[in-house]
Amino acid sequence: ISATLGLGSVWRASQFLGDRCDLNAEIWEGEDLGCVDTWIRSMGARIHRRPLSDEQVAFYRTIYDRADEETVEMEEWERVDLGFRHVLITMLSSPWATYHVEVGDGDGELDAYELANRLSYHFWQSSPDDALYAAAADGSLLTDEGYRAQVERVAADPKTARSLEEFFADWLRVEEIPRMDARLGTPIFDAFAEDTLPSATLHEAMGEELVALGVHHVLESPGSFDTFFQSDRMVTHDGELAALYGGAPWNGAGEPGAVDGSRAGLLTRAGMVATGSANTRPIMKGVFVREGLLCEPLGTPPDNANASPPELSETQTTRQVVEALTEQPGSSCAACHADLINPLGFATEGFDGLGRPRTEQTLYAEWGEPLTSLPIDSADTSILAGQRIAFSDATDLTDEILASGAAHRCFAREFFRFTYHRAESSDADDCSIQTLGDALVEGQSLDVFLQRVALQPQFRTLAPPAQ
Amino acid sequence: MKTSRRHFLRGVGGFTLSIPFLPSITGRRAFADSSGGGPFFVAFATHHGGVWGHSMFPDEGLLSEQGRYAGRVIRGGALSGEVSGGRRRLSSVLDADSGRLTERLVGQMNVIRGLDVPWYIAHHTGGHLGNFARNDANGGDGLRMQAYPTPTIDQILAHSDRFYPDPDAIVERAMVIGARGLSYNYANPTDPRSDIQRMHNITSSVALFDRVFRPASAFGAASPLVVDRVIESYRTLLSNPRLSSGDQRRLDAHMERLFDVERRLNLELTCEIESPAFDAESLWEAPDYFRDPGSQARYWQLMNDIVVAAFSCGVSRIATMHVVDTLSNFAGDWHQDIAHQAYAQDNAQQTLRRAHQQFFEDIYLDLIEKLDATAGPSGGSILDDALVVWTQESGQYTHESYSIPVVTAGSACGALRTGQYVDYRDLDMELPFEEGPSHGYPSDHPGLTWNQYLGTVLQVMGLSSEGGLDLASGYGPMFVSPERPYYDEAVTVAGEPLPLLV
Repeated sequence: ISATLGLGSVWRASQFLGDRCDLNAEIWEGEDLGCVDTWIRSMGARIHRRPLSDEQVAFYRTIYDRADEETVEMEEWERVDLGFRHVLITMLSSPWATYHVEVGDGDGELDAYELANRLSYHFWQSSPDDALYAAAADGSLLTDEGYRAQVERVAADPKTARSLEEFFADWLRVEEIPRMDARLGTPIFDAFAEDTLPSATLHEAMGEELVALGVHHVLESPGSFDTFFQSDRMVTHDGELAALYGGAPWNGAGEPGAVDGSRAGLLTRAGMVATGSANTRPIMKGVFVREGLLCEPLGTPPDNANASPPELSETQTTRQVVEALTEQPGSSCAACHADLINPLGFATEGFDGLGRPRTEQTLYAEWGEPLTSLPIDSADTSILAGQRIAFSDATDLTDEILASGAAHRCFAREFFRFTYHRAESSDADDCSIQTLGDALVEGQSLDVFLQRVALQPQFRTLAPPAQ
Repeated sequence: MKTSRRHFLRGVGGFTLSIPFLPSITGRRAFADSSGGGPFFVAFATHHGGVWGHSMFPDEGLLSEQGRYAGRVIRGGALSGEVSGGRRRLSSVLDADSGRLTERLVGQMNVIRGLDVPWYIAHHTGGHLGNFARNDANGGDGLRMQAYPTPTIDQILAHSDRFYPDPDAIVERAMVIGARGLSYNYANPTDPRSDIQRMHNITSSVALFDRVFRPASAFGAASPLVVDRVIESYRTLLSNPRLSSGDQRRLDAHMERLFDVERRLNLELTCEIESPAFDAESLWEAPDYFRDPGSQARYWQLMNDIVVAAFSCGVSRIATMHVVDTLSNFAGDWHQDIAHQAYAQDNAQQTLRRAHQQFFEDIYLDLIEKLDATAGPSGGSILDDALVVWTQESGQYTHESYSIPVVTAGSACGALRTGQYVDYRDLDMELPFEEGPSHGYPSDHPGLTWNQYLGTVLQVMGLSSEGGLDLASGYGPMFVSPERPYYDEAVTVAGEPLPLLV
């Protein structure tokens, strides 16, 4: 990290971030080296995110004093400016700025400032505020009561939305949502889309909506995991997407309205079902539900399994094509597809490749002429938490998933991994995840869940050493 | 006729240039490395593959030489193509304006058929240059190989004393260009215990230009004195006894990068050159870029300009370019609707073929023309001293790694025989591909290993098995799928240079 700072920038930075030090006056009348040290200590504490030691202050002071070694003659104020600039660049490029340095207190616990940083970066993706620094400085952050008070305060701060946005975007694989307009101009897609010609940004709106749904039910209008998973709230600000849902976009004020009554919560949000194609992708939907929402890994497919993706047919629905391709009795594909993958994707076949509700699938000739329409079949059976379940559509499947508790526990596991930037690696981790998941099953509010993650003992201890 | 650099850069062929060279840069005076520089290495990689062999490769009638090698008959012959209607055609894909794809350039090229990754790698970005671990784990083989990450050969070259005997004269050891990147190396190039990471890839032509020609501005006008102090701050933290060994290695790797910044800031460049007025990356802002082959080609042509300039000025001698653009106006999901349908649907196959031809003519040929028109350190052109390779992700079926096409240009300072079409496939063995021969599609035959190809590249670049580099089995972890025992003899010879070419 290096910064190219002009004279004005140094002054603005110092006066905004550092102790008030009227450098403007001093440089014209001669340097006040005490002021320089004060500035170094103050600015350094902000950038290092902890107080500087006397050795560190002396180190940066040397940089200030020697700034003019590599330059020719300059005015006094230029030398002073250069000194501040060099100190600032060195601070910003130091490992304490670039990395989260956690070496602990010698007993495996984080020290007060390391804990303050971990809290603020986990919730806010930013450095501690004055209150957190103060709690670190006076030692209250290391007490149970003081720590809990800070966790509650920090978690409730609107800045927590930044962290939640990253989590939901990551967990729900928002970046994998394909463009909806990629096939515009092709005969079949144009016939399929009819009046719903998608824009170049619709896929982005779909992704933003999934993230916004999460933030809304955790932070803005906290509710249980079930509430989030079954949510019918219209949280999108995008008019095009709102129209797909049969309503008006939310302006952010008050409680958002509802999407159209055909939806069954998260599973049927546009970003979860849309493909930007006249075809849906029940296999990929099923894989995501199984692995991403239920945390049940499927293992690697056999060689060449992906070499023949299901194509649009002129005589069969997508479901029928997929079944013929992957559920032949006795085939190596059927073992996973018939019970574990396909049913979870078929459940949402009531929504087409643009995320619109449907009861029939129209089949097209190569040049876009509609040939026939066949009824959608969303019913199936599957294995969930070791039990065989039956469902008739996405609403049924949602209910079954929630009743099993599998998604709650998966959410807890995923958020644990997000918090600690690692997979669970010990009995203590498993115990924490179990406790957190059970609380979600019992209906704990997601904002409380958020705090509880930071109240786990692992949050205050050093991470396992990197190998 | 070799054009002067100024003429070449001003618009031979009618393209618009972004870097006007000043007349002061001519011949060897442009080279920072007084020993003369060379060889040069460029690797292009394109996605998917999937073009039928009879479209990709020249006519079999050219394969007039035969010989036994590794248990099969291998074939080779002089590369040539017919000229008709103003176009020269080596194959359906290797087809271009005959005024550009000249006999001279054809004489500099090689087309190689029968180089295989002998296991199911399917989708990957790392395999092109030897980091087989960087694959999408579409099958068990790929998942297994993810446990063996390896530096790519461009990085082996970049940190080799044999390739860069005077690294202090080089600004950028390897230019890694493109949105996804091809190159992988240890986080700390001097510590093989450190993690294998993807190398920083550059997508902006202005950023690339600054990185190789204006290192001070590329690093934010940092002062060498400041960099020295930053390094000292890292040393201070490293002395903390509570730091784990893993974190120490991470800091070591960071410091190595800082040492490199310090080195670059202290370089004195001899080239006089103006900054480009147009950033190639701005082409991406057009909403239809993803289906505008003309814009896509222009993007890469602008990058080619910078590569040629960097080679000419001696500030770098390696470039990797991962071309993920489709080079097609197809609207839809290229992966699902074209790449994975090309074996079964002729219109998808033709779309794929046209896209590959467009890449060859507009991007690959563009670079080798420019290199051939620029004076090189040995008295000929840079292309004479270079090796420019084009590899694809798959062979003639997307996912399958038999006969992955390799096209080369340049002789690497005479180390490589050129003007050849070679075929290493064992035609006596027809491969069982369930969707191939049983449906009347072209069959596959096993060839030599990709490891041998990579090892050959390193050898022609002047490297050998020494200093920790082991080329006894070519380059890269040697793995053969248990279902492919027909590679046994190919594995035995993997450490040898590819026959008929060296």
